[in-house]
Amino acid sequence: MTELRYPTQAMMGDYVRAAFGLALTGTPLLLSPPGSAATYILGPLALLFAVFGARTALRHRTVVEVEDQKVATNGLWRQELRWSELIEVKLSYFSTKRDRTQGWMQLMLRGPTGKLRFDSTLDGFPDVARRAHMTARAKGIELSEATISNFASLGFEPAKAKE
Amino acid sequence: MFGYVVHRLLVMIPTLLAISAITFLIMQLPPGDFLSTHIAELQSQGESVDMAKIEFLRQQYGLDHSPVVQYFHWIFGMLQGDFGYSFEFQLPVTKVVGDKMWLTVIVSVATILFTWIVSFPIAIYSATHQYSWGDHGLTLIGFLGLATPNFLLALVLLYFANAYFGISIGGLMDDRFLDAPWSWEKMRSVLAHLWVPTLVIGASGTAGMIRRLRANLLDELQKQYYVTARAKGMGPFRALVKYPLRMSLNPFISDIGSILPSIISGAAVVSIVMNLPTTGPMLLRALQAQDTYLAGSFLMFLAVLTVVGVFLSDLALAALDPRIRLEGGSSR
Repeated sequence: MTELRYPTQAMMGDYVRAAFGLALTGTPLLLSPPGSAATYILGPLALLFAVFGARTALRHRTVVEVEDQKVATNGLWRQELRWSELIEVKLSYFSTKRDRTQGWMQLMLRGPTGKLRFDSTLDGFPDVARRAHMTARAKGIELSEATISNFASLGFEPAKAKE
Repeated sequence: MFGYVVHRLLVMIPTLLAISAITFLIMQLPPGDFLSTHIAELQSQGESVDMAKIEFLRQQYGLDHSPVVQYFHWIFGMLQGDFGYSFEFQLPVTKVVGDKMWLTVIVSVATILFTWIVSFPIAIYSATHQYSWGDHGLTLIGFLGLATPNFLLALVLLYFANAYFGISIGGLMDDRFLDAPWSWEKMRSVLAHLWVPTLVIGASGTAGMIRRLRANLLDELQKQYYVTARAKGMGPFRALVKYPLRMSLNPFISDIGSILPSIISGAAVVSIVMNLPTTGPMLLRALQAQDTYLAGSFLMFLAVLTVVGVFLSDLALAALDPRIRLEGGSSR
């Protein structure tokens, strides 16, 4: 069994983003009278950044266990997916830059009991992606054009595409 | 996707702060302020100016404070729904904008719907019947639409609408409804007048959209996956709708960014020519009169809509096509 974690250095960026966003939206919110327009505009934004901060903290303490038979995440609660029960694989790429560089990937694995999501900040992310790709090929799971293209950028050969 | 939303929001907030500062700075750049302009206007008309009253107004409107204080006062006011006071109209900005905003939204939404409904089938026909007589004819009409100045088209259509349909010249409703409360009769009058500005404002946008969608669709129709799908016996309609059409929709999605502000700003020149009670002419007048808060708040509102529009189109594009560009790469 291999244990993978989100490294502190990689998570620092997200902590800073959550704090910065919370400061930018929370400060004027505190200075505004309750019930004003600011409450309705900045309130949800501040909440969003707070949730993002909480999610970052949760992800930071999450341990991902990769085995030949299954993959599992141990965070606030345990989620497990047997490779043999894999139903859907989706690899997305996100970037806030206009030229779409300096982005990050997100791998979504769906099984009969739920979904597991991994960001490319995870140590050993390519290994999880490789196993997901191999399982998808072996089981003949259809992949979207975007997922095939993203797997190809990681050096994995294209699998069967969705029609 | 949640992480992407947060990342994009964090780009938006400093952008909006920078835009607000630049907007305010530009509004402050001309020498003097609204009251100075007002004094000069009164003096040029030979009227006397009560300096004590002017000084009182300057204090009342906060024009005696430094620009930095005025800026923060303006920003925090906006966050609390107070967009400031229009010196020109002697009313709060929200009251000045009032009904004009709704009429602008009606005109602009009608224009957007017209643009999409007309351009979509024409572009698909042109692309799938490339170099046919129909394609050449529609391309010619498209170029005419692009090349004809809106104000000229407005004048021509106003004449024909009046001569053949009996619609009053200019305005967005019959004169008897101008100050009347909203009713079915008023709404019908608005709808009867609406087609002229919709056609005028939408003409060039429709032509441009046809050209872009046609070009995109033609690119997609040349690709191997489409040729293979057709060669394997997939029907032309299904093969077209399944991927090429979906991929060529990107310009529609990208356009959301520019659509939102245009819904509110309206086409100023056309609105002036057609005497439309929309916000475009109001913004022009506010800028001419250095009505700082009216013009600044309105420009800021447009900036917010632009940034929100780009944000929404980016989210839609990320959801539709979360693909890496192979010349780029992920750094995390």
